[in-house]
Amino acid sequence: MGKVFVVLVGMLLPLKAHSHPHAWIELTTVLEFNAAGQAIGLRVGWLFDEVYSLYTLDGQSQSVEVVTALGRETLDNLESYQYFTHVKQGDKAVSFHRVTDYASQFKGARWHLEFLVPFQTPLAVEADDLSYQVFDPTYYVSILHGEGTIDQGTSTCQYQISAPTPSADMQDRAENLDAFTSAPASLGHHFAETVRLSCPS
Amino acid sequence: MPLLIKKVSAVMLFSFLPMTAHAASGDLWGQAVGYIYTQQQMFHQDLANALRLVQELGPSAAWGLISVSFLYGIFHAAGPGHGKAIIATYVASHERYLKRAIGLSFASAFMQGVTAIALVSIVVGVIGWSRREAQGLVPYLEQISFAFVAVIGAVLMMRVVKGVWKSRPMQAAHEGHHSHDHTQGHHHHTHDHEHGHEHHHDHDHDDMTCHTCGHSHAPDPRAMAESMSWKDRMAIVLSIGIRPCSGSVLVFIFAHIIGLPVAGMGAVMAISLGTAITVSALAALAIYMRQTADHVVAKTSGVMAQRMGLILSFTGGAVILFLGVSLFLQARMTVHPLF
Repeated sequence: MGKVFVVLVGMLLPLKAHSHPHAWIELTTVLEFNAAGQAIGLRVGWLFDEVYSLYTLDGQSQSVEVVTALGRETLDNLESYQYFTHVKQGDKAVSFHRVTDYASQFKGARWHLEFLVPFQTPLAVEADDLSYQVFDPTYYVSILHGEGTIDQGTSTCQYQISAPTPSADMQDRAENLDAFTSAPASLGHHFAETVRLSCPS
Repeated sequence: MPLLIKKVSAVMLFSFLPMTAHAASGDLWGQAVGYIYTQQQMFHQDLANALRLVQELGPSAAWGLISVSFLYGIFHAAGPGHGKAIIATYVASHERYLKRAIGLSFASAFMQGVTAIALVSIVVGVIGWSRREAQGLVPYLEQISFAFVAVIGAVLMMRVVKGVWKSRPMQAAHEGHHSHDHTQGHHHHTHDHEHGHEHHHDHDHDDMTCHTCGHSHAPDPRAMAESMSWKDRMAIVLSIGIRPCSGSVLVFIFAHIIGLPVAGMGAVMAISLGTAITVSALAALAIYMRQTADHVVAKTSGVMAQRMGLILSFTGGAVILFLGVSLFLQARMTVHPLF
């Protein structure tokens, strides 16, 4: 009964104007390293749901020109949002360059956008102090890793995804002492997965 | 006196419960919302599939589409949203009849659906803009909606203030007539009307003070609420309904693109029905809480009951004003990069 009450009361919360997710992205992420073994950026892949994919095409054909332009336009729009990507080394936020390396194509009825978020300076990843999150702060779009969506490639680093349960989130905050303060405290943050890296040296 | 303080704080707590509950139980709340979002995503995907099926199999697949849309509506409305917050606040502070609360929920939900259909049909079909441009109009409609909500909150607060002002002890009751003819004009008419039909549920019959106040011009907040409630409800339906549900807009655009606008309309109406049912459940809960509070208050003296009613009406207006203003300010800053 108490639970039901809390749920009902929780439903009253207006939170953000754009709260419920209206689009869903299946996320893939992997770090890219240079020859010296430094991380140079995070390669992010977004597989959009069918409704959004069709919506964003807006009746245009799936031609290479159209789909490439769509990718460019979307990434330009996302630039001031840090591409919804937040990377931390220790408790320091990592800043990015503008995205130039991207691929935009349709996989059947679903749009796939992949891009490299380049770090301002290459990072020496030696300990387990690197972590990242990809989320829409307004939670208008849900962005989550699917099954087996981190391909470690040749890297020796282990990726560990923490599910976005609020309790895990609390733990996370306790452990990291406000690790992601640069991100707006928001609903989207509440439902973000956290990926932690541990690289044996 | 301590009793009065206790009662006042109970009413205040009741009014602000939505705000405090989050802080107190973020964990459970987060899990519940997480569950609702997961369900919603499933239904959203099912919805796309159901539309595809209608495309392949024709009208025989329509029932699948309608039922999935209906379930999507139920779960979509179960997430956080401002429409529900406003209806629940209004109902808790100004409404006493379940039937009307449910009517309010249904009218708002259906107007949202109709707005979604009209927006896409007119802007894309008649004016010939792109579908993206149609979606781009949604934030403007939201802005109008939020501003409207804020105005409603302010009006509800002003009404209480005016009522109290008019009933200052030194003021002859009838002097209020000229300056407030809108309120007063409807006051007599509506109140008398309701009295015959619905007032028999009232707890106040054996309460001398309040029994008389309906006939004098003392600020019985209930009589005032009754008299204004038809206009209030119209205003609330308009303020919420003018903002189309974004999910419905997306689904209708999707249906349009795959060449099934009629199926899309059916889906949007079914979503509205599902939404209406969820919001009605919440409104019913608010009515129930209100009736419980009324019951407690009715046991106290009539003056006390009046004061509690005034505080509740004023607080309800304040919460609605706050919701409208904060949503308005938030929305101004929000331009989504993917839409």
